[in-house]
Amino acid sequence: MFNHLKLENISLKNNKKILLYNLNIEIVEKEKIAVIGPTGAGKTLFLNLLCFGLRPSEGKIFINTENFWKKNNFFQNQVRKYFYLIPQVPDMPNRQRVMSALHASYINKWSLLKVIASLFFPFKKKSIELVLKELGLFEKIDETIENLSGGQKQAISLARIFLSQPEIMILDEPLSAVDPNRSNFLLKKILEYQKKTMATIVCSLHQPDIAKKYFTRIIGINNGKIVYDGTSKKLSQTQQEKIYKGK
Amino acid sequence: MKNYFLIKNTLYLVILFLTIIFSGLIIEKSNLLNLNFNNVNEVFFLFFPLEYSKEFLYTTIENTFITISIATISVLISTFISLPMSVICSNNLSSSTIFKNKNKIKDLSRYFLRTNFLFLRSLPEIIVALLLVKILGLGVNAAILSIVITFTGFMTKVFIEIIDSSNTVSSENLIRSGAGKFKVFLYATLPLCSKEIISYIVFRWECAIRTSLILGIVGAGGLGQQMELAIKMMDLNEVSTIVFLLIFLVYICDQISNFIRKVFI
Repeated sequence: MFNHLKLENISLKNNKKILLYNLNIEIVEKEKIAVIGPTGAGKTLFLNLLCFGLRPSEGKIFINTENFWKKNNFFQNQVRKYFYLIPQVPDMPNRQRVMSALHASYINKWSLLKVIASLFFPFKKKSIELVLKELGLFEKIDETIENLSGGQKQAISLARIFLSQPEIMILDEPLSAVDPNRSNFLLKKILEYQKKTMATIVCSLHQPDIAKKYFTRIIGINNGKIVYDGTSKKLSQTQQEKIYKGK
Repeated sequence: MKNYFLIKNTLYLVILFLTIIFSGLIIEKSNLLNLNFNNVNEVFFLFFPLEYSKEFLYTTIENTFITISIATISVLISTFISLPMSVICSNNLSSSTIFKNKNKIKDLSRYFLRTNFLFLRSLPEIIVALLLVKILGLGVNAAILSIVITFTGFMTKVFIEIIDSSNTVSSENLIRSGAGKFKVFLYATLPLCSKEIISYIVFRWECAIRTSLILGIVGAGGLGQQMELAIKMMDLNEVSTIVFLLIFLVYICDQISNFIRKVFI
């Protein structure tokens, strides 16, 4: 079970260029966190660090008081199942059908034999149909991914997170390819789901107003540094400008 | 710059000149210019008419099926060996490269596994078959094993290359959430590069049919062995029938592989 996650003096370097430095952050369960900042500030790298997708060059990450990168492979794989990250660009292969693309969200919990069998017999057809009905994409179930529009692809990759039921949902700009109406609808779905499962949610956004309205905690990143870390109510206009301007 | 091109061009000219001189010498030695075609008339008519007695046709068709089945079985076996091996050896599906978590032991072991397949594909099929005929005796087993040994090497190499050149975004995300290599391969990498993998397997099947014909000459059964025996016994009518059958066989295999490509790709 996931209780809390702690980053200690984390920094990330790439060929002597420092991308992120000196991050100190604690995340407790059931929090609703929005990550904001200008483009190229390092939001995606930060989210990747959170779900152990990148090994930091310096510093330690503790999960439930265990130092993650010092542990063995088995422990790491067990911990990875708590997390699910949705990347900015939908990551499904083009020639896959929607049905099997959504089955892929279960495979980290199944054994290899069950995964092979699921290629021929879709076990989770009913729950997939339910989620697609909620998102209004039920008629696309037998379509291939390449025939969907950008917004529909993003909705399908959101459906993946609903199906896999992780304890920490990490969303990398989930609303970047949809119109305002639809983005409101999707955001409501995400928060509804969060209420139902009491999962922790970390979401990077480009709209500070939405972040203020719906999320309890805000982390502002600029130039690889954390500029703001606090509740969303306390975020003043000047601080918000500071996050987007920097220096 | 002008001088550079001049030197380069003169060098090419010198090389061309030398090759012409050497090839002229070799032609003079090999006696290619005064070949003797007087025998052709006599030998050519020995090939006709075609042999079409019932017993002969029966054995040739049986041997044709043996040849095709040697090729199919050996390609199937080598696919089943090489696909999992390529998943294990590929860099794209390994967690240490995706998470930039440098693990020297894992990288080294993967490298050595890859280089081990070099031993499998270093010897040509016919030499492996010659050795295996000595060990296993004449027959189909030697042909199948020799094709499996060499083709596994080739196929693993190519599959690793296909997997490593595919897009990593989809596989990365699944590995990040704790799924194993093989599961990720089935759900992310295979849909991406199934086209290339299937067309390469079909191509290898065509190659295997030709190879199994050659292996017959070493004594590994099938149509090749029958042809070799017929040549040795100077039954040239039988040889011509077999040659026509071979051309027909290769044509049919081409049509079948075209059909498979159309259906799956």
